[in-house]
Amino acid sequence: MNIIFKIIIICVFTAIISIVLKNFSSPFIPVLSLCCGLVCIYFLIPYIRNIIDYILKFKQSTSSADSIIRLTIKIAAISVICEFGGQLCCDSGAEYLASKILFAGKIVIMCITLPHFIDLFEKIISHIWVL
Amino acid sequence: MEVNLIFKIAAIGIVVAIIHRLLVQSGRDEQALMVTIAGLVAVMFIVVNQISELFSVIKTLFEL
Repeated sequence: MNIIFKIIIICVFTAIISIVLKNFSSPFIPVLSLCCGLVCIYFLIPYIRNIIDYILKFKQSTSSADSIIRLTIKIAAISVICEFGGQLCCDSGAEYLASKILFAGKIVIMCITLPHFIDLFEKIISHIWVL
Repeated sequence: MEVNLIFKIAAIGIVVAIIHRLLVQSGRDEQALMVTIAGLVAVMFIVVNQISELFSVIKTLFEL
C-alpha cells in the first residue's frame, strides 16, 4: 500500500519541477516525465512479478493451456511497452507518434496471435464437420 | 533505479535553464543554444542507459 503513496509523491514532485522548468521553456520537461515514468515502473516491477508468478502457478495446475498462457504473458509485455512509449510521446506533445506506436503494437500482437487463431478456427471447423 | 535520477535531471535542467537565460541576456545566443544542447545530451546519456535497463528487466520479467 505504501507504494501508491510513493508513486503519488514522485509524480507530484515531478509535476512541480516541470512547472518550474516550463517558465524557462526548457527542453528537459519530456525527459523528466520519462524518468518519472521509469521510476514508477521500477517501483511496480515486484508487483508485476507477483502477478506473473500467480499466472505461472495457475499454468502448472492446468498443463493443457501452456502455450496460451505463455502467449498471454507475451502480449501483456508488448502492451506494457507500447503503452509506456505511447504515453511518453503523448506527454511530450507528439500524439501522432503515439498513435503510430500503438498501431505497431496492435500489428505485432496480431502477428503473434494469428497462428493460434487459425488453429482455433481449424478446430472449430473440424468439430462442425464431425457434427 | 532510484528517485535520485529525477533529482539529478531536475538539477541539471534548472542549472542549464539559468545559464541559458544568462547567456541570452548577455547577447550570446549561439553559446546559450550550445549549453542547452550539451545539457540535453548529458541527460539523454543517463536516460538511455536506464531505458535499456528497463527493457532488459521487462524481457526477463515476462520471459520474452
